[in-house]
Amino acid sequence: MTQINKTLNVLVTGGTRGIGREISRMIAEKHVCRMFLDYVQNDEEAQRTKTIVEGFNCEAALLKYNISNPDMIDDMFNEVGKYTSKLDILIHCAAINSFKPLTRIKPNQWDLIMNVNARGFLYCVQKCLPLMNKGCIVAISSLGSRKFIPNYGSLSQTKSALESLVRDLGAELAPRGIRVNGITAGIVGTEAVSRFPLSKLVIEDVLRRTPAGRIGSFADIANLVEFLISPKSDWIIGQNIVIDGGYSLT
Amino acid sequence: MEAVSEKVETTVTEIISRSLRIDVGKIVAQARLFVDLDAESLDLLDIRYEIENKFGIKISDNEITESVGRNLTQKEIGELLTVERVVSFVKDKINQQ
Repeated sequence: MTQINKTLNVLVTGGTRGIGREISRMIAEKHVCRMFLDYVQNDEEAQRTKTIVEGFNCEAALLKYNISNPDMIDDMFNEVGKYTSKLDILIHCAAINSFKPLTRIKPNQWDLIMNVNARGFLYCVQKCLPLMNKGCIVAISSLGSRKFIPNYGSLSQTKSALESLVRDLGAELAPRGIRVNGITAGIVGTEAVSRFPLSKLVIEDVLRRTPAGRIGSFADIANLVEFLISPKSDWIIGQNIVIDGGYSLT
Repeated sequence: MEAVSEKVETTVTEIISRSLRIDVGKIVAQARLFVDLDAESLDLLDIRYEIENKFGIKISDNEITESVGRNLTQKEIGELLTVERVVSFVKDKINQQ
């Protein structure tokens, strides 16, 4: 049977680098779509991602808005509204961190990290609702949400909050035909991981304890996103799915 | 003009004070953010966002640190990035608008 391709309108926060870029690329590769790529830092990399997405004959718009600030999220959705009156998919990849013990996190740092990683997601979802009549929302979380990882605490608590939001929004929005799910990712070879204190030692330790024998790739995460935005996952609601090569089992 | 300049100075100092939790009265113009005020890169991001918010200006990546000079090491930036440098940067940005 020939599949009828309808144009998907997709917003990806943190969509221009690392995992976010791969997710954007993969969606562009597999769908007819209009991509809204939100980012804050690194104009060159953002432009590069836009070019990659456009290479798949998808439209792409770069949105430079800091989602720690609700006013900026308002502005971002106002801009989205200039292009379309509907959104089909929201992917939340945007995240910031400060790699140090929780005992040294300052209040302003806590606020900023929480506001980008968790509150920013919630407010984006709220702003999505008028535009989303049935759709999929996926948040990218990490194992720190449920496991102690040294020097990772500032991110961990925001990911725990993010996963709670996924669970609750999943239940709240399912009756409207909007499926909200999360991905709890194990260690992936990102630029952020390379900045992790003693990153080499951490990766070696993770590898020793990972049954799959390797750390994750961007594509591992993007593949799961692809599944979660497809009708094949229609009965999955409000779940945070662990994807870590079996690391959390050991 | 003088009043605007003073307002920028006051507001930037308040932003730094709030972000780093240091009394406004203890923040002198010559204080180096990373060395004397114990700021970290995430704090500078926080300060940048607040400046953008308060003054309605857009600041690009590394624009504040590059205002003290290009291709500098972290240590050199730490030595050169003072409160008055940030104030001056914000005034320039406002004037460019």
